[in-house]
Amino acid sequence: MIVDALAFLGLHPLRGSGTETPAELERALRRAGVGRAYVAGLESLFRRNPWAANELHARRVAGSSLLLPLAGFNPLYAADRERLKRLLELGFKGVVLAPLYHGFSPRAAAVGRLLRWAADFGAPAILLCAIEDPRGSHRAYRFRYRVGERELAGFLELAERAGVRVLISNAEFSLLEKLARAIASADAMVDVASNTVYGPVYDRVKALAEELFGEDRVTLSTGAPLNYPLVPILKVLYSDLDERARRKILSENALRFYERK
Amino acid sequence: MRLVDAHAHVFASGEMNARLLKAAEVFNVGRLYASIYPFDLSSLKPPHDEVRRANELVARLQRESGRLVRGMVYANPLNRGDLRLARELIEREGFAGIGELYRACKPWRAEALRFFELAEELGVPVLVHTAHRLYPRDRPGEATPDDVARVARRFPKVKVIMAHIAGGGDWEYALEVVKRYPNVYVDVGGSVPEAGVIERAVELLGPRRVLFASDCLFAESVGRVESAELPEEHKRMIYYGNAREVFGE
Repeated sequence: MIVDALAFLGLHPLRGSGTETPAELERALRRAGVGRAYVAGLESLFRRNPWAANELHARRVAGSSLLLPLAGFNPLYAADRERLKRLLELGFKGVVLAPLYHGFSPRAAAVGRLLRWAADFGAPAILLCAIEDPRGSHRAYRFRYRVGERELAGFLELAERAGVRVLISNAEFSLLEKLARAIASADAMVDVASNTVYGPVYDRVKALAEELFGEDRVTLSTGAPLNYPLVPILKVLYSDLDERARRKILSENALRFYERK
Repeated sequence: MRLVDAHAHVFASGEMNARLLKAAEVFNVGRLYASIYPFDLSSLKPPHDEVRRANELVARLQRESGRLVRGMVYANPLNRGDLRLARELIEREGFAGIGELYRACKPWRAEALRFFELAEELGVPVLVHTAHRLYPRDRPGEATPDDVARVARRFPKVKVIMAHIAGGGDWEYALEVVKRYPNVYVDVGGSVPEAGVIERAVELLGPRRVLFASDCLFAESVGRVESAELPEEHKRMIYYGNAREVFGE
């Protein structure tokens, strides 16, 4: 069973995906062979106040056998420990931080507090570096809060101090290369979602899994439905890795990341 | 039926070429229309001698690969001798077309237009590197979709391939700009997995004007076409049918 560590559901405010309901997303993921997907509500990442959007998202995926909810979390917006506790009680499997869209630095003290709470509850945190390739984004964006080297290094320091497990999602390959040591020393996983994690001929999935982080630290995220889900899956399937490493990336690592207590 | 890749590259490194041929085999690609990988050259405006050597490398791989590789002429339009070289490569070595015309200059500059005239005379297509980005800004010498439209309008008999529609940027705008020029084709290459691009290309341009291409990113391009919600017949046209028409094979 292929497990998707990060997909999305709902309405993107600036783009249409054509796949906006749970049934449509399930169908698209099943076509790609995905049997389980951890899914964030797009509304929770784009609205400045994510809390109502999270509740909508929880209700929306409640009946799904394939989709498991992740909560968008804005650490600057009336965020407290009880809020996180409540989200986990609602069945959310982790929290997604989207600095680019919510407009904060991943090195902010508020992020450190959230990570400590997450560690207390045994919940994982996902740092979403971007949803789309910046060259294709709407002109309205200014990218003031793009996750660069300094921001990611600061976030990793906070995560390590908090003792929380984190997924660095959609990070550019060059950024992962630059911060490989810091990522390796934190309880961190990376995904293959960025378009700069090239497949064969370049095979950067293999570079992530063999040279930089090890096969236990790399996981699949499709970014569906904003992205075609088969693209990252084929990158992994056709990487020059052995069967065991591919299985870990496509399935086991995501399960371990989310379901570990 | 094996896939036809309308936009690939040959590398300066033998190891990378071995990987290229292996990937073609794994992804069931039976034909690679390939020019030298531009980042293996010394600059965006390489001198004529370097351009000649680079094309010779492609010609050698064309011979050694049992014609799995078909050469496409790399040229720097700003060099005096590159036009004659292009003619030689097409007439004597059997290269299939011109391009990827890269970032030496805009395709509508007089120096570049001579290559379109040659393509018209010899009946071969021209592949134009195109940036579809909105952000941060256009780069000097790099073609935009509007530039592609401009040369396509001037040379309606030349088949112009607008490169890597999924290479990053505003592909919706790019498709809108070129849709009215029936001699413009788009290739599906590029690294960006954004959903919807293939379906929209087929909707706006029709299935006949969309070409499979990897730009050496095979998983990305195959994944894109396979994920697209299209009838199998249209996928077959994209994967190999259309390229046969464009390249005349």
